[in-house]
Amino acid sequence: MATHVTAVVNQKGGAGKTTLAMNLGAGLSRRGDTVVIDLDPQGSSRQWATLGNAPFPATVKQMSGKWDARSLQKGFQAYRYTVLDCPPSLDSHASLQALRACDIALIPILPSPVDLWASLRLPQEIAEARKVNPKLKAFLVLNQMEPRSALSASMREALEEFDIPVLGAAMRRRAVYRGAALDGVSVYQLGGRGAQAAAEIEAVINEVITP
Amino acid sequence: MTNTKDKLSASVRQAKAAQNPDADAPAAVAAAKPADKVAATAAKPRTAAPRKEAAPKKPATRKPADAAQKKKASESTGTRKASAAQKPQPDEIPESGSALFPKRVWPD
Repeated sequence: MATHVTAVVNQKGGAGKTTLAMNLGAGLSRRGDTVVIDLDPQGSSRQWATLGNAPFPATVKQMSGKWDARSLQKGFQAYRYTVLDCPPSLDSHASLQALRACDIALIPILPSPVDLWASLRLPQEIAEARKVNPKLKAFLVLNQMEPRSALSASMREALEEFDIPVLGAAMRRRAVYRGAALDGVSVYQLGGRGAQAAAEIEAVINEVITP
Repeated sequence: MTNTKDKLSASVRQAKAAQNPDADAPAAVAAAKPADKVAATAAKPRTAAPRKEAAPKKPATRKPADAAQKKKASESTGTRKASAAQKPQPDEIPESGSALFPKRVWPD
């Protein structure tokens, strides 16, 4: 059985790719064997998984040597779900192959004009990847939303310019996401403290990965 | 809030137009900043070259003007001479001598 591949991509750094990828991995691991593959040379996912005493619920691996979309799908077909944490570049081999290998591309985006402008190339890159990977579905995921901020409230309308659908589920700006990274766990493992954040991740999973 | 929405959407459209100038040329031109305009003029050296070739004609047209200016300058010097002639030369100043200060004014 083929693994279901979700790539978390955005050319902009600091958009929340690793936070989303790691917590998605944790959420999906409750549904089946899940591997998070760290494609970012910064190795943030690997670092996250090695911190703390509690084991991270999903397997976290880093790619090495020569690989492409096909070898990636073949190499992890034993897992029910594969989550790819991509580097902050669309021109990199890793990002291009990830977009060719994945079923779903999730693009976290911050409620900031600078992040919007920096992400304008994404629709073209998704269209290019679809030539090789016609099954590819891409969604924008609003991250670090602030309910009282006018900018956050304006994001959905502004994102209509992107030609990429925006998920109804969004992630709010919460200290617990950063705290989970520091403890080397997911928000699911933080009990009541992480419940709201875990509900946000669940909403993302239910909306697109396991509807 | 509506203002923020409009500004944000407009900024995205503007950034989009700047990234795809061919797709929406008028919008890109409208969005161009002064720096872009400088870059645009710098990128057109061939249009500036013919102007340089036409440059030698300009001195020919300027010559009459220069001559006229010289003429005017000579005329002005003439008038100055005339005015200078009316004025008494340093040599022509009459010696006042003691006439200006009659002896009778001063007490002995």
